[in-house]
This record gives sequence, structure tokens and C-alpha cells, in this order.
Amino acid sequence: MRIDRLDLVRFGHFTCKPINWPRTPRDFHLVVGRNEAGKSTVQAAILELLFGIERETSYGFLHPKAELCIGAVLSHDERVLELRRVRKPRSLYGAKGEPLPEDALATFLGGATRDVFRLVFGLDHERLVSGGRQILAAKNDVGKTLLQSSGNITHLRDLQQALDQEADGLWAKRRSSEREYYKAQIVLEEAEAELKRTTVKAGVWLERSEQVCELERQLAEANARFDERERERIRLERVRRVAPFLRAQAEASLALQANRDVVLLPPDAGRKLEQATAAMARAAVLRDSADRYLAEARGERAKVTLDRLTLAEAPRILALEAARQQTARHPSDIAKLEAKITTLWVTVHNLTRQLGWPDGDAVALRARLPPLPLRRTLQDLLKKQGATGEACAAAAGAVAAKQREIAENQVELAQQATVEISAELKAALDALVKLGDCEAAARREAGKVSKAQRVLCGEQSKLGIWQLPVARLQTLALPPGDLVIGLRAQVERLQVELRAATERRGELARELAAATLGIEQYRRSHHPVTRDDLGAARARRDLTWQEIRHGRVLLAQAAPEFERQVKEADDKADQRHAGAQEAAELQAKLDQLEQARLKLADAETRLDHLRAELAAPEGAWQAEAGKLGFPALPLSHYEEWRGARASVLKAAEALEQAQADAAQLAEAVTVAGGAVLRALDAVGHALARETCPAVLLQEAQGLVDAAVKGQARRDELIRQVANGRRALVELVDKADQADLAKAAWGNAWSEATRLAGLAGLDAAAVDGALTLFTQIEEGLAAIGDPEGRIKSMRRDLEDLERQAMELALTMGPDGDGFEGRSALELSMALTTRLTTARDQEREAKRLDDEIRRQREEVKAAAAKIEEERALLTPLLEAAGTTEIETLRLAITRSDLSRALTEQASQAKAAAERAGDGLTLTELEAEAAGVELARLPERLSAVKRDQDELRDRVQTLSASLSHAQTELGHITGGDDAASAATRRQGALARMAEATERYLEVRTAERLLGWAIERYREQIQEPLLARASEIFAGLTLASFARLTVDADADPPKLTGIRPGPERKAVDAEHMSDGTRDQLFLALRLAALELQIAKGHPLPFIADDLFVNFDDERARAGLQALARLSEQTQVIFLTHHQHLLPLANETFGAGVSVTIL
Amino acid sequence: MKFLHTADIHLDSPLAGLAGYGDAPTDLLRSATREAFSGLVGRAIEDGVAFMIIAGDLYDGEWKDFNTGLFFVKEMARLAKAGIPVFLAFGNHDAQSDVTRRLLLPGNVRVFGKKRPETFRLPELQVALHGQSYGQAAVEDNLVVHYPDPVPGWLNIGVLHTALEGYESHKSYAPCTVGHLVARGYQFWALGHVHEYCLPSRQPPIVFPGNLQGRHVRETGPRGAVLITAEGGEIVGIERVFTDVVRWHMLEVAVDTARNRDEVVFLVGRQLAELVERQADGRPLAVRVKLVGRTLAHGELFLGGRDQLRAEVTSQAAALGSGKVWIEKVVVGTSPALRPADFGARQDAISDLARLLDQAPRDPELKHSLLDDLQVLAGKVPGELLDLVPHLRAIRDGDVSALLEAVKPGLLARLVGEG
Repeated sequence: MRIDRLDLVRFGHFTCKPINWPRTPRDFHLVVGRNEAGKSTVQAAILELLFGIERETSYGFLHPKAELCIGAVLSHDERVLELRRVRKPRSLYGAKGEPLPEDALATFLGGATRDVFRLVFGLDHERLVSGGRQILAAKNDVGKTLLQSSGNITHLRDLQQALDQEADGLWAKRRSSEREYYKAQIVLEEAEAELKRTTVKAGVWLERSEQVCELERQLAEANARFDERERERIRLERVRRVAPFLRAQAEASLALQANRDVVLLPPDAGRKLEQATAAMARAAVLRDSADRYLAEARGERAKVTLDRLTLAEAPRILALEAARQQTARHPSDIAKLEAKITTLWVTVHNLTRQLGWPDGDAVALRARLPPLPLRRTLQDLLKKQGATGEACAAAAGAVAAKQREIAENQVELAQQATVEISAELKAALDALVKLGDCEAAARREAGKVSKAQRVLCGEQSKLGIWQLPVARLQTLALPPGDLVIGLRAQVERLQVELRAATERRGELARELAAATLGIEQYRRSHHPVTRDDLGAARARRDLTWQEIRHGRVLLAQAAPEFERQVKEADDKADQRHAGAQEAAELQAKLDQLEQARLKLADAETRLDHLRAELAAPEGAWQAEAGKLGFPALPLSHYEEWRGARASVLKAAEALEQAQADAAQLAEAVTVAGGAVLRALDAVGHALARETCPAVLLQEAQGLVDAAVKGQARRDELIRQVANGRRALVELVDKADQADLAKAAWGNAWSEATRLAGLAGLDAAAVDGALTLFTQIEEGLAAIGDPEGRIKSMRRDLEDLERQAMELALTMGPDGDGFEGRSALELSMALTTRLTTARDQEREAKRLDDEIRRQREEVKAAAAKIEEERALLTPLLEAAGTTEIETLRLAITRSDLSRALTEQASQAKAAAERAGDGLTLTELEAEAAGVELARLPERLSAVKRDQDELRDRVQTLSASLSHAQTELGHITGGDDAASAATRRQGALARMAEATERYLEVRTAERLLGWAIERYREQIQEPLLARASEIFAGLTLASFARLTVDADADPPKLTGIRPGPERKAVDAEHMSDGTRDQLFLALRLAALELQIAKGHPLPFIADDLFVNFDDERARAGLQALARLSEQTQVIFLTHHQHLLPLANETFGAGVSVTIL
Repeated sequence: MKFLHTADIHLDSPLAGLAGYGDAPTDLLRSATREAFSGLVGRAIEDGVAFMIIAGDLYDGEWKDFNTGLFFVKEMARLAKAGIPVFLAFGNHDAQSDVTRRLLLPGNVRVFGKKRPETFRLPELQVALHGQSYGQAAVEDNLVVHYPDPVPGWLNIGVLHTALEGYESHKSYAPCTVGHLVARGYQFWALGHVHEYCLPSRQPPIVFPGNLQGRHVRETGPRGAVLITAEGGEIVGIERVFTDVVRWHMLEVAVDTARNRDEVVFLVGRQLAELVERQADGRPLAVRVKLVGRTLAHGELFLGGRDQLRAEVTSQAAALGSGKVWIEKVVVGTSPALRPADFGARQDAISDLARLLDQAPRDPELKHSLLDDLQVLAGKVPGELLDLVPHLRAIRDGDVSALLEAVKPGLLARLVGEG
């Protein structure tokens, strides 16, 4: 299909703009236009004509979007179609306006979509550059490079890598908790283990239920028998307990009978007697002492008299003293203030005399001072005087300076000379400059070579002790990858298991320690009595009994110890029975301890087994390492070593490249230096041929710089003269304005001095007078304040004198020496008299209080003696006596009789308390029925029976507890259901991971396979045609393109012409050459595509922006070949391509100027 | 008089398919079947029903945990305390269950005999219940023909665990037809075995109540028992009682209009919101989202990060409110916007690539290489995964053609940048 004519009816900024592209043998059409002339609009118009105007088109800025319209005449084979496209749902119309079906262009487009047309049949400079970058990004992957260069497939490498990474994250042979499948598998395994652990089978439940029932029955029976023996033991124990109390009660009753005529006094009679006699003695001593103190106080009180008049006038005396203290400093302060006023007046009169005024009082002086507004006006005029004068002088100075500057610049301009530099010198200098600092560049290249050597050495050092020469490393046959992976997997698996087993051993050791500690803590906290403890206590008891029985020790001596041992054995037996549960738990813990020990031993065995197993793969690896020549290379270091080997080979390659670059630079410097020498010689600045490039560059650059600087200076001077003349006119205007301002100030000054009485004075004198006015005003204000303060203090002194005289008159008749004394002296004398009167008053009061207290003490002591005597009266009457000593004897006899009664009563009560609720009669009857001598023997027999029963109960309790615990675990809980749910969840996740892995891995493989097939099937013809185009585009700088099949993976390279056939891969090409490589690949792919199918116009937009003229010509020639197969429309804003196009396509080439 | 009819309780049968991701409602799933059953017992007590009928399959046949049986006994004890008798006919799962054989049931539970049909009478209600339990898992005889004649003047109820004719999705145990049941002359047939609620006959009523709780995505929609009302020896009312605590739903979302994944997720979110509004009935939903349609986003959905797609859909579900919806799985069932013929007609390298990919399933080298990798995985997976991932069986059999064909369109769509 081709476009015979494009009509831009209403599109972009075009209106009714036809562009004709008539068919020619070479169907090439050049569209030239400056920037914004509409090239992009033409390109967009073609796209929207063929595939419809987009809803959001940006070309509706002049014409409304709804009215956009593009027309064309298209031809394909023998068919010609004239149409118009508008932006409506029904968008195609014929030449006469008749509607066309929307698929009317299908046969013309041959199935191409908008994207395909834009990406395959359109190419602009931006995509040319990005295509070059893709080649670089694809690096050595030829298949991807070719695919990407063939059309609209991008990011192949990223996609394949992403798929590979996703697949690897889902599943791989090696188990890893980072992979989704294995994450779920771990959960599955845990859930299955949990399910197995928590599932309770029916048989287990039945078995446990029956076991619990049987143990409960046996335990009940044993407890019943134990209770029966316990009752017997209690009866015998009671008899043994009660017998001594019964005997004591009988003895006390007999003694009471003998003392039946004693008068019984209250139990506390003795205590009362002793307390009363002691209290009476203490009261007599207190009474005598108080009598003595009372007499002394009365004598002292009689000596004290009171000054009642002074005490009555106390408030007035105190007020007078306060007033005296406040006015004490007034006389001295008055004198100081008067001296200060005198000094101030002297200062003021000095100031007035400077103004020529006579001395006067404050009122007269204030009347002569000028008003304040007038003084402020004069001050303002004084400030402006200086500025007005300075402005006039500055304006005149600026005019003169500008006139001098203009004259100096004209003189310098007349003295400047001109220098010319040839074009050859400039060109040669540019070439040398482009090479930069040649010596530094040479040093850099040498540095790169050196660095590459160092890198190589460094990489070689990473090989460690397992080193070989580079050539040997290149040819070294490495062990098969599968074998290494297999061995590593085996070793890693075993190491993981070894670590797990070690951790397991550690856990078990900790469990063992915890179990041991738990038993110790349990023993400490519960004190369980074991069978051995009980047995030991009984053995001690029996041994003592044997000693007594055989007469080896006396009963009286051994009895206490024997009784203690009997009690100890009984207590332990009781504790053992009561703590049967604790003992059972202790036994369970001991069993767990034994199990933990067994598990630990198993873990140790497992650890040894794994260590032995690990030796096998390590031996196999040693054999492989020996083949490499490195028998000591550990398997774990092999991958690192293999990586280091690859790095060494890469570093060796880099060194080789650096050396080639250094040689190339040296050659370029020699050529450029020769050209500069010749150019300098031509301008008469000959230098020796041996001159180094830096000096050459300096000389040539100096010559050129001097010429450039001279011209720049001349231009600058001309500009400065012109600017100076314009500035001079403005400065003269400013000087005139300054003179006018100065005259106005003089008029205002004359008027103000006249009003102030200062007419005729100059500015300095007026300024002085203003200062004097201010100082006089301040002096008058300072005199007024101290005069007022003196008046106030004199009034205070007069008031104090009056008060003192009045008080002296009041105190006169009783006082001495008040007459003729000052107010101050009167106040001090009265204050002293008041103090003395108050001291006497306080002493009299203290003595009165003391007399009163001593009287009360005497009275209280007498009362106490009478009270104690009255307390003893009932006892004396009960004993039938009035003597205290007789009473004391009767109390002693009464207390003895009461003790005997108490003893009998206590014995009876003790017997009843120890008798388990039996009455005394019942206890006596029970004791009478037991032969006390055989009591210990009978008790021992009963306790032996109990011990046996206790052991049985304990054993049964432990078994029952264990069985109940086991059965208690089966409560209808949902642990197993929970585990099953988790298991289902894990299976679902595994299924998702598996399904996804299958898809992603398959897609990744499929993509890789397709790329490889593409390379195999399409590479040869594509490469052959691309080689031809590339050679042409680079002006035979490259002979052809080739694929280095020996490289792994294969890589695309350009081959230089000549016998050396040097290969340059895309990575090492310049940016421009890489763009030409991509253009060659694109054009070749396009030609092949067109040959296979349906040709469409190729739209190229400014592809040669970075091409020089020669390569641009070569580019046009490449397009000429394409234009023999399909229509080529070339858009450009470079006018200079026109002659090149005429040269390539002939004078009749189709050209459209926008 | 009212009574409850339930069947196919499958206590503690795990809910399958809800992958164990962090957002899965573990606690709810774990106890779902128990909660459903407890809810039913509570309803029976609350409504004061006269009795309850269980028409088989208390537990999964292979389920071994006796705790499940104890839980059932506790629930029966609740009914006993409320004075409600239970009539139980064992089904095929019960027959193979060790728990059933060993469990001692409370006195209010009466189990129909295994060797021949048995009749329980409730004279005070004038009700006779006729039923037979399975003695073995696979009962292939028609049991109905031996059921006794009805008690005249009483309400006669038949209890049977049967596939009934026409329900091929369930194993054909105790086969019979509606005609056989009607011919017995009973006023009501309480059946079990079919997990979907259905009413094969209205006169007399023959009812499958369905199971109490859906256990996977094939058991979607409301689940529960039926509450029957009888008056004067006749059935006058059948009311469904919903007991499911989690409701399954399959949500197909047509994403033809979506141009990328974001738009797909938006469409899913919108339909999830509608679903919650329409279907949830206040219960949490477990939803499988299936994306269908011919869409530009196919390549991105098929070969873009699937985890991210799932996460984004889950976020949409979470946005509807805490605990309302859980995503069981997101299934990409879309196809590319471009058809195979469209790829071939393109005038670019894609047409070459499409042609090459067409040849791929016939390339023995590719298939061999792919099988080498995939068969390792297929050989390691647990057997249950073979049912969950259909491609695995083919891979085990050495065939990856179907897998290649399935992946090819997605890869092509991804390559041309659809989405």
C-alpha cells in the first residue's frame, strides 16, 4: 500500500493542505520544514488517517475536534481509493462524500494494527537512540537483540528474568524456606504431625476409661481398710493420753479434803495488800515536801511592788517612741537639700549670663525662653543645611568625572591594533583540543593498563593457593556442574541435619537439666516423705525400743528420746499418707527424668551417625579436586573459586583491551600534532617538529586567544564611550536641581532666627543658643523638687515636740527631771521606765502561781493516804482483824487451798479435752478396759497395718492420677480438627504454588525456546542484509556483522575491514555507530518483513541528526534501496539534506516544503 | 408439632481450599462444622421441637479423632436435658467410622438397626419413624423395599441415607426412586447423602436438607437443616433453617473492559461489594474469584505477579469491613484481547513469534527439557495435589502439550504488552 496524496483538510494548524507523493521508481519523498512547521502533524495525520482519529487527539487546537478531517488517495496493487477520515463513530467517507464501511482500509493495511504500524513502519531519532541502548542492554544475547530490533517487542530480557525469578521463588529442587512451595510444605508437615499427635482413637479412649474405673474401685477399698485401723489406733492413743490426767485429778481431791476449814479470801487479796501499803508510804513523802516549798514562795512574794501609773500610759509612751525613731534623721536631711538648691541656682545663672540675660527668679527666666516649636524648626533647618550643600557639590563632581572617563576611553580605542587568525590553524587546533590533555590521556591509558594489570593480579590472588596461569585457566576442564551441585546438596543436607541434631541434643540436655531442677525444687517446696524416709524413722524408733527392752539403758533415761522417735515416725507416716499425691507426682517426675536421659543418649548416637555419613561426599569431592590439581580445595570453596576463575579471565580480557586503547591514542596524538605545526608555520609562527603536544597546544592556543581577546577589548571600549555620553546628559540635569534646593533653605533660615531673637547669628551660634535654652529649662525643673521635701520634714519635727510635752505633763507628779528636757530625751526616759514596770509585774504573777500549786499538792497527798486505807478495810473485816500483818498471814493460807482446787479441776478438764468428746466416766471405763503395760505393743501392731495400707493407697493414687490425666486429655476438644484445617490450608497453598510454578516455568522456557528458534531461523538472512546496510552506513568502517557462536552465549559483533578483521562488540562501539547498527538491523528486518507480506509506507523522522554529511548520504542510500520495495516518507528539518537527496535520488526527487 | 430434619453433618471435616495465608479466618474455619451443629441444637431447644432426625453421616468416614464423637455426645446431652429425643440412621461414612462403632450415645438418641428396617413409635404424638442404618460403607441394595407398612392413623416418617435416582454426583448407595418411596405410603421421607437441599417430591414431601456447612468451593450458597411442621398426621410446613457459619461463593467477574490490572481489581472490588450486599445474609463469605473475558490485561494477569493480584483483591475484600469476605483463590480464566489469527496477521516480529510458539508443543526437545524439570516437582508433590492441580497428572504421564497450549496465549499477550 502507498499514499499517493495526503489532504490535510482540517488537522492541526493545516487547512486544505494537499501533499502529493507521486509514484517514482524509487518511492522516496522528502518532507522538509523548519521547527513547528508541521512535520509531526503530517506523521500523526498518516496514523490517524489509516487507523482513526483518536478521541483525545491533541491536533484539535485550531479546528474543533469534531470537525477534524484528513483526506488521502491510497493505492494497493491495482486498487485506488480516495477517502476522508473524520472524528465520528462513522468516520470514513469516499471522494463524493458517500459513507464507506469502517473496515474499508483492511485490505490496504493487510492486518497491521495502529501499534504495529507506529512501531514497525515508523522510526524517529528517539527510538533510534533507545534501540542502540537496547542492544547494549541485551549485551551478548543475540536472539533478543534481533527480536527487539525487528519490531515492537521490548524488555524481553527483563520479562524472561522476571519469570525465572518468580519460578525460582515458587519452587526449585533445593528445599528452602524462602520458596513458596516449601513454606507451605513446612506448614503441612507441622499440621500432619500435630494431627497425628492430637488424634485420639476410639480404642485408646475406651482403654483409658476402663483403667480409671478399676483404679478408683481398688483405691476406695484400700481407704476403707485404712480407716478401720485408724479408728483402733485412735482409741489406744486416747487411753494413753488420758490416763495421767485421771490420776492427777484423784490426788488433788485428797489434799483438799485435809484443808477444808480455811477462810477463802479473794485471789487478788495479796496483791491488793502490797499495792495499798506501798501507795500510802509514797503519799506521806510528797506531803512533807510540798509544805516546805509553800513557805519559801510566800516570803518572796511579799518583797515585790508594782508601778501602776506607768503601766496605764504604756500605749502613749510606745507611740511617742515610734514617732521619735521616724524623725531622727530629718535635721541632717534638711541641711543637705538646702545646699543642693544653692548649687543649682549658681549653674542656671551661669547659663543665662552666656546668653547676655540678667539674673532673675524662675518665673522671669521661663518667660524669656523661645517656644518649643520654634526651637524644633531651627534644629530641622540646621540638619538640612549640610545635605543641601553636599548635593550641589556631588552633582558638579560627577559631571566632571564622566567627561574625563569618555576622553580616556577614546584615547585607548585609538591605540588598539587588530590581529587575524587563519581557518587552517583553527581547525588543526580544534582537532588537537578534542584529544584533550594528550599527556594526561596517555597517562590515563597507561594507568588503565596498569590498573587492569593490578585487577588481574588481584583477581588471581582471590584464587588463593589454588592458582594457575591464565592460559591454563582458560583450558581447564572443570568438574561437571551436576556432580558438584549434587555433592554440595548432599553435604548441605547432612550439615543441616547435623545442625538440627546438635540443636536437638542441646534441647534434650536443657530438658534434662530442667527436669533435674524441677525435682529439686519440688522436693524443697513439698517435702514429700518417701518410703525410705519413713523406714529410717521407724528403724531408729525400734532400735531404741530394743535397747530399753533388753535393759541396756534405763527406762527413765531413754523414755524422752523414745517418745520423740515414736512421734517422729508417726508424723512421717501421717505426712506420707496425707502427701500421697505429692509422692506420686514426684515419682512421675523421676520417670520423666529417666526418659530425658534416654532421649539424650539417642541424640548423641544420631549425631555420631551423621558425622560418619558426612565423610562420604567429602571423600568423593576430594577425588574430583585431585583431578583439578587441587586436592586440598574444599567443596564449600569450590563455587567461590570458580567465580574467581571467571573474574580472572575477564580481567585478562580487560587488560588486553586497555593495551589496545593506549596504542590507538598515541597514534591520534601524532597526527593532530603534525597538523598544528604546519598551520603555525603558515602564519609565520614556526616551531620545531619535536615540540611536545602540550607546548604546541599552548603556543597555538595563545596565538588564537590573543586575537580573540584584542577584538573583545575593542568592542568593549566602543560600547563604554557610547554609554558615557548618554550618562553625562543625565548628570548635568541633577546638578541644576541641587542648586534650586539650596536657595529655598536660605529663606526659611532667616525667618526662624528672627522669631527666636537670634537674627544675624550664624548656624553654629544658633545651634549653641538652642543647647543653652534646653539646659536652663532642665536647671529650673531640678530646683523645684528639694524645696517641697524640706517643708514636709519640718512639719514632722514640730508634731513630735508637741506630743512629748503633753505626755510629760501627764506623768509629771510621779516623775523626776522631765522639765527642760527635749522631746527625744523625754521619749527615751519614759520607755526605760515602762520596761522596768513590766518586769516587776511578771515576777509577782509567777510567785502567786507557785503558792497556789504547792497548796494543792499537800491536800492531794493527805487524800491519797486515806483512800488506800479505805481499800484494805473489806479484807481486814473478812479476815476478822484490824492489823495488816495478821491479814497478810490469812491471805497465804487462802491461796494454798485455791491452788489445790484448780489442780483437780484442770486434770479433769485435760482428760475431757484429750478424750475426743467422751465423758469422764466413759474415759475412766475405757481406760479400765485396757492393760496399760501392753499398750505400746498393741499400738505398734496397728501402725504396721496402717503403713502397709498407706503404701497401697499411695501407689493406687499415683496410678489413678496418671490415668485420670491421660483420660482428661480427651475432652471432645477440636485440636485435631484445627490441625486438619491447617493441613488443608497448607495443601491449598502448595497447590497454588505448584500451579503457578508450572505456568511460570513453562512460560520462561517457552520464551527462551522461541528466542533461540528466532535466532536460528531468521538470523542468517537478517544478519546478511544488516551487514550490507551497516557497512554502507559506516562508510566501510565496518565490513560486516557477525555472531560469535563460540562465545557462551553467542554475541553480536561488528568486524573491521582489513586483514586483521578486528571484532568490536556493540558495547565498545561509539554511540553514533551503535545507532547505525540499530538502523541497519531495523532496515534489514523491515525489508525481510516487506518481502514476506504486505508493504506499507515507512515513515522516518529526522534519523540523521547525529550523522555527518557523509554518513547522512550513506543513510539516504540505504533508504533508497528500501524505497525500491515500499514507499519511504522522510521528514526532516535539515535543509542541507536537500542537495544530498538530489545527489542520491536525482534532481527529480519528490520534495515537499512545509 | 414441629421436628427438625438434618443430615450430612460431617463434624470436624476440614474446610478445604482456603490457603493458609495470614488473612485466613483460622479460628472460624477450624470450628465451622461444630458451630453449625451447635447452632442447630440450640435452635431445636429454642423452638421446643418434638424430636430431631439425623439421616446419616455424622463424621467423615476416615476421621479417627474420638474427640469429635465426644463433642457429638455433649450436644446430644443438651437435647436430652431439654427432653428432645433424636432418631439417627447411620450413613455410608458412619459405617466405616471407628468413632461411630465405639461411641456410647446418651439415652435420648435412638439408632435405627443395621440388619433390617426398624420402627420407633411415639404414642403420645401418634408418630412412627421407620429407618435403617448402614452396616457397611457401600450399600448397593434398595433398602426401601423392606421398610414396613405405615401405622394407620399415625404420622409415618421414613428415614434413609440414599443417593436417590438422578443425583449422579454422589455415590449411588441404597439406590431407589421417588416412586419406591411414595409407594411406602408414608407422610414424610427424611433423606440424607445429597449435600444440596432439594425436594424431589412435594406430596408426600421427600426432602434432602443438604449439609449443615459448606466445606469447599463446590458447596456454595446457604446451608442448613429443615424444620417440619405437622398437624393431624400430615405435613403442613417445611422451613429451611440456615446454620452455616461461613458461606462459600464462586464469583465470576467479567473483565473484558479492563485495560490493566488496576482496572481488573477495581471491577472485582465492585462486584465483591455487590455480593456482600446481596448474598452474605450477615455471614462471612469465603469467595473464589474467577476472572473471565477477553481482555487487554490478560498478559499482565497471567504472567504478572500473581501474589500481588491476590493481595490487591484481598485488600478490596478487606475494605468491605473486617471479617466479611475472605478470598479463597483468584483464578485467572481470561483470554487475550487479540485472537490467534490477529497475531499471525501482524506485520512485525510478533507474527514470527506467534508462528514459532505454535510449533512449540510439537518440539520434542522443548518438551523433554521442560519435563525434566517439571517431573521432579510432579514426582514429589503429595497425592492430594494431583486432584487440585490438573496438569500434574499429565506431567507425570510425560505430556506437557496441554500446559504449553495453556501458557502460550498469556505469554504472547504479555510480549506484545497487552496490559
